[in-house]
Amino acid sequence: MAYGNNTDGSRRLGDYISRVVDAISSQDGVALAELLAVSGGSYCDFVASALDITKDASRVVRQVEKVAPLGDMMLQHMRCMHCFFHRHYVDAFNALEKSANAFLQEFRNWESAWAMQALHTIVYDLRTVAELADKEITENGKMPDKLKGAGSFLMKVFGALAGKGPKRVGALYVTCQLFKVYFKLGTVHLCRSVIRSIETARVFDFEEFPTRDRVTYMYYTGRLEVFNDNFVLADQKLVYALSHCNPAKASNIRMVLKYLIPVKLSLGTLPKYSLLQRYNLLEYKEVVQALRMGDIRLLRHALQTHEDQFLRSGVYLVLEKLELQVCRRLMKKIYILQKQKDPGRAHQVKMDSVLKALRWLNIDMDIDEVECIMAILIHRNFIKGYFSHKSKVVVLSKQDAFPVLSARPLTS
Amino acid sequence: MGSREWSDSWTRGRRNWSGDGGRSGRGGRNSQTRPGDGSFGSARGRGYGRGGYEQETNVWSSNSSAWHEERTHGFKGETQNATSAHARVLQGGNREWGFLGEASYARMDALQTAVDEDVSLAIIGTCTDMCPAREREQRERLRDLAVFERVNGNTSKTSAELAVKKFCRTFSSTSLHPSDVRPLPVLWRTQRYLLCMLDRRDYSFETVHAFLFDRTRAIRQELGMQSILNSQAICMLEEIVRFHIMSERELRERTAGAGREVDLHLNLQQLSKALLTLLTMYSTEYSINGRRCPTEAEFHCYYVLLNLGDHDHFKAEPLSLWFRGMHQSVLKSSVMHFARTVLRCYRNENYRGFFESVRKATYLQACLMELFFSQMRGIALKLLNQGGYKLHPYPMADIAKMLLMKETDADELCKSYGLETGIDKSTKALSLLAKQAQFTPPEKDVFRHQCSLINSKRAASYYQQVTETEVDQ
Repeated sequence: MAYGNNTDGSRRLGDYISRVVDAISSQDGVALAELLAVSGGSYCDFVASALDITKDASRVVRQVEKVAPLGDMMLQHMRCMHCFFHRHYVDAFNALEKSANAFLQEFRNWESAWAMQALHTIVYDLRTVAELADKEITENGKMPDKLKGAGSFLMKVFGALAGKGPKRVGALYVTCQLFKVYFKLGTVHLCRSVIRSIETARVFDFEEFPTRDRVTYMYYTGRLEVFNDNFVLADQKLVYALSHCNPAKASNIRMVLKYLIPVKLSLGTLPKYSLLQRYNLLEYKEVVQALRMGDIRLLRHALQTHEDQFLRSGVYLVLEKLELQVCRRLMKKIYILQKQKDPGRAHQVKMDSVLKALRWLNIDMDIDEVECIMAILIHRNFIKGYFSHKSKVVVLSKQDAFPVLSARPLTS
Repeated sequence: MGSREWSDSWTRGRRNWSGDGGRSGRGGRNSQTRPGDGSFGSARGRGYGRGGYEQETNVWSSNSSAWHEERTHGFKGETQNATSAHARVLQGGNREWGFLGEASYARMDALQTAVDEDVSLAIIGTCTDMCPAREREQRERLRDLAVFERVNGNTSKTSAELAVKKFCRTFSSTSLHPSDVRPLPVLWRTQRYLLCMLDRRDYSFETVHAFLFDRTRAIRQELGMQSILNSQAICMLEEIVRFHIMSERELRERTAGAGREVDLHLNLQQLSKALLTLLTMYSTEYSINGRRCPTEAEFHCYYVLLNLGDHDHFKAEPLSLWFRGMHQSVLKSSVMHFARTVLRCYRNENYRGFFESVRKATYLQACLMELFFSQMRGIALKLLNQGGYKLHPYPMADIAKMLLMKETDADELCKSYGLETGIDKSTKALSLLAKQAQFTPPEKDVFRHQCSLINSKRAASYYQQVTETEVDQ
C-alpha cells in the first residue's frame, strides 16, 4: 500500500491537486464533489496513502498553493482524509471542520450554485465523521461533542443558503442532514427554527426542491408530528413522503410505513395484511388484529412482545393509545351480541357485562375503571350515549352508537 | 364500520393513496400538502404554547451546550464574536427572516445560561471552608449575609462555620483562583451541613428553601466546573433533585394564591436542570466505568413524571425519543413500570387509573404527580359532566374518593368549573348533577388544598426524605 518513494507521493498529490484546480476553474461541481468526498469517497484512500509516503511536507504546502484561495482548505481536507484512512476520527473531524469553514467562506463568494454538490458532500461527511468521532470519544471515556459541533456548522451552512439567489435550492438537503443530527442527539427541538424557515419564509418554494430532499424532509417532519401526537398532520406529511418516494426503493417505503401505520391506526384505518407482509412490518400484525377483534389482551401482548422494537422507533406510546379504540371495538361486539339476544334492550349495556368480557380476556379491572373508560369513550366520540353511576349501566344511543372514527376521508 | 381498510388502489397506483384526489402527488402552490400549515409555527396559535417565552427559555437552557460550542470556534475571517456572527448569519440580513429573531434571541439566552452550570474548566479547587475566605470578607463588608450565616444576628459578621459559598452566575475563567473553588470533600461536607438545615423550625420553610436553593446551585456549579464525576457526586446530585421535588410541594402549599408562582417556576427549572445533569452523569458513568447505579431507575421515573405533559409543547426531546436510549436494567425496573403506567393513564385521560396510581406512589413520586392533579381532576369532572346520566346524580363522596379530595373540596371544585351540585332527593347525599351546566374552566387556578393521602407518605424528616431512597409501596 505505502510503496513508492517521496517523489512518487508528491507526484500523486500533485495529480490530485491539479484535478481539484481543474474542477474549480471549470466550475464542475460534480467532479469537485467526488474529489472531496471523504467517507465512501474514491479519492480518500488515494490521497491518504500518498500522504503516507510523502516525507516532505513543504512540497505539499507548495503544491497546495496552486489551489488558492482554497490552499489552506485543501491542506486541512487532505489531512482529514489521511486521519480518516487511519481511523483517527476525532482528528479527521477537527481537520474537516476547518476545511469546511474555509470552503463555506469561498462558497459564499461564488455567485452561482455550481459548487452545491461539493458543499453537500462536505456537509454529509461532516455529519458521518462526527458520528464516528463521537464514538471514539465515548470509547475513551469522555463526553462526546463533535456531532453537536457538526450541527452548529450545518446551521451556518443553512444560513448561507437561505437567500434569494439560486443557492436556496440546496437548503433542504442541509435541513435533512440537520434533522439526522438532531434526531441522533435527541435534541429535536432544535429542528424548530429550520422548519419554520422552510415552511414560512417566502424565499422558499417547497415544490422547487429536489424530490429526494422533499421526501426526506416530510419523513422527518412527519415523525416529529407523530411524537407530538398530531396525527392528522403526521398523516399528511408521511403520505406525501410515501407518494413521492421512488417505488423501487422498498427500504425507504418501509421506513415511512413504519411510522405511517401507527398514524393510520390512530385515525381508524387498518392496513391489509398483505401490505405488512410485503414490507416486512409484521410487528404490527397483532396490533391490527387486536383492533379488528376488540381484543385488549392481544394488544397488550403485542406491545410487550415487540416492546424493544417499538420503543426504539418511538411509536410505542402511540400504539399504547390504541387501547381505547380496542375498547370501542369490544363494546361494539358486546352490543352486537346483545342485539342478537334481545334487540329491544341491546342498547343498554351493563358495566358488569363489560367487566365480565374483560375478565374473560384476563384483564383485571374494577367497575370504577370500567366507568372511567366509558366516560372517555363517550368524550372522544368513540361511542354515543351516556352512563349511570347509580345503575352501573351504559346506555348507547339508539342511532349511530358507534360513529365512524373521526379522520379525514381517505377517498375523496 | 368503525375501521376501514385501505383500498386496493394502494397497490395499483400510489397516486390514489392519499385521499386528496392525488393533489399531493401533483404538487403545486396550493397543494393541500404544501407544508404551509406551519404545524410548528402555529403550535402557539392552537393554544398549545402556554407560558410562551418562559417555556422557551427552559427548553433552550437545558440544552445550551450545543450553542456553547459556537463560542470556541475561532476560524480565519470571523473576527467578531461568534455569537453575533451566528445571529447575523441566521438572520441573513433578509427581512423575511424577521420571525427568526425569536429563535436567535433564545439562543443568545441559551449561551448565557451555558455559563452557569455546564462549564467545565478542569480546575482543581483548594478551598477548605464552605465559603472561601475572600468571599467571606467581601460579603461581610457589603453586609450580604443570609440569616443563617450571621454570627449572633450580626449582619456584617460571619464565620467559617456559618458562611456558605453563594452561587455566582457570571465569572471569568481568568480571575478564578483555585482557593476560591471547593474540592469534592468540602462540597460533600457543605451539602451535609445544608441538608441538616431542612428540618429547622426557627425559620420559615421559604427562607430555608431560598438559602438551600442558591447554595446547592453553587455546589452543582463547582462539581461541573471541576468535572467531578463519581458515586459521591452522583449521590449529591440525587439529594439535590429530591430536595427540589419535595420543595416544590412545600412551596406550593405555602404560596398558593399569594402570587409567588415565580419561585415555583424557578424551583421547577432548577429541578429540571439538576435532573438532566444527573441523568447525563449516569450515562457517562456507565460508558466510562461500566457501572450502573442502583438508584438510576428512581430518577428516570422522576423524569417521566415531571414530563408527563410533554407533547403539548416542544420539549428538548419528546418522551418517545427519550425512551429509545433507555438501558434494559432501568426499563425493566418496577419503578419505571410504575412511571409508564402513570404516563399511559395520563395520555389516555384515564383519571381513575391516574389517581389509583397515586395511592401506590412513593412520597416524591406523588409530589411530582401532584403537579398534574388540577388537570386530571378537571378532565374527570368534564367527562363525568358530559357522559353522566342527568337523572342520576353522581354522589360527591364517590367523586371525592376517586379524586383524592375531601367532599367539601370536591364540591367547591365542581362549582369553580361552573358545574351544578345539589342534594340528591332520594339519597340525601351531596351530588354532581350532570349535564345541567356547561363545563367552564376558571380564569385562574386558585383552588388549593392539601392532599392528606400524600402527606401520609412523608418520611419522618425532610433530611431523611432527601437522603434516602424510598421503598415502593
